[in-house]
Amino acid sequence: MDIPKQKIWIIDYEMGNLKSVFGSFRNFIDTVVLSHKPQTDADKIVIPGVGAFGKGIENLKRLKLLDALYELILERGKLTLGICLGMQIFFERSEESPGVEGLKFIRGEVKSLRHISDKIRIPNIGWAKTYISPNSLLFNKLSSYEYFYYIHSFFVIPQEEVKIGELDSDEIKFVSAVHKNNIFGVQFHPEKSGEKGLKIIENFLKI
Amino acid sequence: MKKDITTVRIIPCLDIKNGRVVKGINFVELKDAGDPYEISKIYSKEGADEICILDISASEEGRKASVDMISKIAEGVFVPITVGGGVRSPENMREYLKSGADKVSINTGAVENPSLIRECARIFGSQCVVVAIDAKRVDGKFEVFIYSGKKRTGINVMDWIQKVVELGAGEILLTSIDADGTQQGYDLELINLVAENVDVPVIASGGAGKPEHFVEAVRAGASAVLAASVFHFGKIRIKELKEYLRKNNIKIRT
Repeated sequence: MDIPKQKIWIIDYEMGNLKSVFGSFRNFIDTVVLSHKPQTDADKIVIPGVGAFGKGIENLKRLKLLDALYELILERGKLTLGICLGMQIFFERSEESPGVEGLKFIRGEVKSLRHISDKIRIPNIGWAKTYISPNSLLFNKLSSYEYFYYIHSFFVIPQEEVKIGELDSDEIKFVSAVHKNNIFGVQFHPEKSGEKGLKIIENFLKI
Repeated sequence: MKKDITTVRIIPCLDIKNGRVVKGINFVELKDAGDPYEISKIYSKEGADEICILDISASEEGRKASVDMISKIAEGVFVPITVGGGVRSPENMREYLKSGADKVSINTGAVENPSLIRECARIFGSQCVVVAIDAKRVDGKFEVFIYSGKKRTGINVMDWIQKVVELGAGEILLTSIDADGTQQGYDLELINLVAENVDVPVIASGGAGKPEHFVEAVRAGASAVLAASVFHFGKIRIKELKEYLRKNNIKIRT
């Protein structure tokens, strides 16, 4: 199946490296817009981002993006992919920024990796073995275990059945990919995960 | 010692000046031995887990050419990129991050102004702040050197690592000046001392000459191993190195 014609809006809310996210989508299609201005005619939305939870939400507010996100994602149901911090902000709150409300698209919270183990290095930086659900369209034509690139200190704890993938090392496991209705989220960076990561981008474009 | 939940990273490092690789790279499949983009593509295809780029441009225009080159790599090579070279302010760091670097390393700038680490960590997040430390043995102790290893600081490495982590460093890029360029192996004592005493990942650098050296560095506690000339001159191919590590029961990305 070819990639259908579509317009992708990558939200630029000034949170970290967006060039590679842009590049990874441009690898497949030309109609990719990286902007902080709401692209209401976009078919799909990508929310990337690295950095602190509170700062991410603050920037979305400052750039007056919250209403657009609720309208386009929740009401109009546009297919959305959150990457790293972009996924964490879908949840209700984060230990990283107490008192800051998340977007609340998914029930649950974000916590420090320290809660899982006091024996691991933090930040968690590098490629980790990850279980991905063979049934998810996002992981079409990938094996059930793949290596993806992670760079983070916090992880999500969903309070509903949204898990489609988890980091699975000998030491610990935690949810690292979620899917709820039109919303996908991954803790790892598909745009930095070589060919397997690009496959996820391609799959997202084909959903 | 803290453990990694990720695989060991193999990181080739390119020195670039005015957007070009400083020392030519000796691969048969390379059309242009000075093109960092082409080289990065090959390394990534061979299984490099990350690519490190050190920009040693001396002029404004040279730096601009390097930044453009980093953009090109970030848009076309889909593995993480760490960039360093002459970072003295958050603006310098922002410039590299905007061009597509995932992490930026600070070395001399951090020693001369330690609050730069805190400031960069606050603005960009700890995860993209790498503090590069050049260490040299002086009277039986490890001392921090700056200006590409040319200037002594009188600062003890063990004191400095505690401080940089407190200030918000997300990773330490640890180079042994004594071992660098010798191809006689990493400084294992140095790696072990640092890896034992910090919770953040430590990238070992300086001294790689044979595949065994990489195994030793990992066993000493390195989360990632960096090398330059052994890769550039084709003495060690990344693909074969990873196979060697795997046979030695070291977790690598396959």
